Amino acid sequence: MRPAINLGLAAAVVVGANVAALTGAWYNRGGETGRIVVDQQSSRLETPRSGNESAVVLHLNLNFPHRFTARNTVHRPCEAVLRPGAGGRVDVVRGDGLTAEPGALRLRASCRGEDLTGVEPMRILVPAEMARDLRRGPVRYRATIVAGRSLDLWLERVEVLTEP
Amino acid sequence: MAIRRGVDVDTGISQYKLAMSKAPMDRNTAQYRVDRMNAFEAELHEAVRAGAITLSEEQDAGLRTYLQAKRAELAAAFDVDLVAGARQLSLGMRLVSTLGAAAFCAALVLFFQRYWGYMDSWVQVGVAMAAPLVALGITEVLSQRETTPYFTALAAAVAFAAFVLNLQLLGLAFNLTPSIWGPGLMASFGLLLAYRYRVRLVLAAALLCGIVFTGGLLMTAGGYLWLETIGWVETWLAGSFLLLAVVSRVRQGEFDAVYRLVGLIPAIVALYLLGYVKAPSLLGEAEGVRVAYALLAFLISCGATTAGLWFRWPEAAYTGFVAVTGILIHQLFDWFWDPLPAFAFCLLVGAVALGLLWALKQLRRAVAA
Repeated sequence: MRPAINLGLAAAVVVGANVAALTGAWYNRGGETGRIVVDQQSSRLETPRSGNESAVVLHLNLNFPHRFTARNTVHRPCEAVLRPGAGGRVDVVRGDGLTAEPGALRLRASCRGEDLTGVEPMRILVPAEMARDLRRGPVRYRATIVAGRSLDLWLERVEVLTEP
Repeated sequence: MAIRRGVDVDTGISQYKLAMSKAPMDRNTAQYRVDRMNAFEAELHEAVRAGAITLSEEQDAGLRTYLQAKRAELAAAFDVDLVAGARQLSLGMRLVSTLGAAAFCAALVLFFQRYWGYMDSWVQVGVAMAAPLVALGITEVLSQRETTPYFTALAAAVAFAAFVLNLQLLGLAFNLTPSIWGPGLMASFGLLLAYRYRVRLVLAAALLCGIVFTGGLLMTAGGYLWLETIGWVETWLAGSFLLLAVVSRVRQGEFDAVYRLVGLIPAIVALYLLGYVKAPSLLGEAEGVRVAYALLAFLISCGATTAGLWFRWPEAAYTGFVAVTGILIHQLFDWFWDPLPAFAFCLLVGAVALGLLWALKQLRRAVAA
């Protein structure tokens, strides 16, 4: 490989990485479009404390960026209680503005009673396997949380107990 | 076999081939030729003094003129060290260059920490993106103007650090999801820098990023978050073994040692953590798995030592030997610290050290033979 090509490639890698990062940022942008960003550091799933409890509590800390950047972000906690439902569904026991769909949960535009009109819905995609696993026993899986476009939230070592 | 087993002979043969080939000469090859000329001159003088050979004045003068002219030519072109003192100074310069690179990288990080908050978003993006490009430009200019590798190495290390910082800052600014392609891009950029400017430090950093990238890909394929590769150390093995396989199939010249070191150290550390520190394993937590990993860690460490001695790879031999010693001490502590009184344990460790010394002495004799 000729040295001149190397230098161009190195510069291209830098520029390409920045363009990719900015493109990702653009798709996740907040402000007027009101897309929600999940705070992945603090969001978590809480496992049932006893065998009699089948519900899983999903603690989501949501960021509502006011601008294109993540500055001036408003953090709002949101709690949803989920449990395995009939026919592979995941039911929402409690949660502000939450509705359930087969294989998926949809967070509507409200959180803890606060009106978030204009905020796009955030979907928690639950794979069909997860819905099945929810009915079996201890599982470890990944759920994809879609906010605006896509963000991954890792739910580690989730132990879901089946209904008694 | 004697050729393969002689460290200087083995390295020397390949260097000799390089030096005599029509391939473009690099600094290492030029340094080798100067060393060879110095050794030849010294031995010839000894032979002449002992009366084993006689040179006429013309021959002696012609030889001296030729050697001096050749050394001067190589020194001018590649800034090679002509005497031992200069070589020691070069080592010092290499150390200073590494320290300087670390200081500049720290300065870069602290600069961004200090002023980042005062910048507008687009200024942030511009500065973060410009930093590695400017550093890359400076590296290129230095590489063309300087015959010594030290300034170029320093600038290349700063360029790499600036790129890593660039991606980190953009991720923070826009709350981006950590991407598996991050370490992949860092590895690519580092490899391009390292191979263009022949910088080992940057190559080591790039290869480490490559190991993280490979592990992350495996984690992703398994349905895990790629960041988990840091905790699931088994995934380091893939990248590490890949590096060792690459360097065993395709020789990388002066970079061989870096490949072997970066391949061996994470592999041995991962196996040690799995076997002796009970790090979580993807194969489960059965005792058999742990024992297998412990055995593998010991065998690979011994293998690295043996291969290092056999093929004259000092970095592999040292790494393997340090690992074997560490594993032995760990195992001794594990087995005997509780049942034995402290003085008896220390005596035992001393006895094992004596045994190791004896074994190494035998090995040394075998290698010398």
